[in-house]
Amino acid sequence: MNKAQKRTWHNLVVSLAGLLVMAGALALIKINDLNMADTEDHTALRVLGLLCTIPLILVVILQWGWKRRCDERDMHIERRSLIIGGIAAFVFLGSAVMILIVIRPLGSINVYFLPSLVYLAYFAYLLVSSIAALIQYRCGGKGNE
Amino acid sequence: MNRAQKIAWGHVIATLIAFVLSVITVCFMYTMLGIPKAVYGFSLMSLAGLGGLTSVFVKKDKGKVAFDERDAIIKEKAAHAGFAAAFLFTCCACMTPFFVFGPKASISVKWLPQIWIGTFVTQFFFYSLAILVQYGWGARGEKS
Repeated sequence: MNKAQKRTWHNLVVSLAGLLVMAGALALIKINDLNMADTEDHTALRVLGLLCTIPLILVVILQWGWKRRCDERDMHIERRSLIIGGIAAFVFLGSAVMILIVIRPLGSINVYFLPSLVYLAYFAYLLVSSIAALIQYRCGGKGNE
Repeated sequence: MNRAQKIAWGHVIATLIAFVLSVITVCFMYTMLGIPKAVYGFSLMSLAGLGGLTSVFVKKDKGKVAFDERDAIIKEKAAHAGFAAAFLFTCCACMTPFFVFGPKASISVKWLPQIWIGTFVTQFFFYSLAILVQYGWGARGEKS
């Protein structure tokens, strides 16, 4: 398994963790019918919000810190997987918008849901681009060192 | 100038015309009807979709090699630039209501498709712009 594959696996795990944390936070809000805009309460939710930033920090730090050693094939795979990830983020955003309109036609949503949409779209992008890269590497480490 | 450049010019011109027309309409409607209704002037941004027709009218490149590795890399890089710009636009569009109206505010879901369409238009505009920038804006030996 080469460096690029290891980075891809790392991105895959981090994006899955990010999506799970965010899904947990949204489920908690929905089940308990909590108001995130209430500034006097819900410290636990704010801690959860901070937890959501950890995957982002992990991605950014390790992307910068990871020593890049790659050839043309790795770069080609990375470029293609980034485009696939971008398309996936578009599809995710469009689907989320459609679902919100179907659930609440002519309704309204709190403004703090909008940044969480961007957050989820980013992790959808990261997840799908990682999967696309791993598929192009045939998942394993054979012949990729 | 090759086919990709001509199509990119079509997208850029259509988007710019749509943007200028919608801004003029919004300004005009603002003076006549006020701010909530004036925003509907941005519906003229749909004219940017006409840029997509360029690919119908521009003929396919003739010759033995119509599309080589350089063209593929230019398209891939342009796609990256488009996605980056679109993501930036989405971030700004989603964070602005939070900072303008405050954390307790809520917005109508009818604005969400407009954010998504704005993202889409931004992606296509910057994708086309990046293609033109990489080819050097005009003809540099590329033939169609």
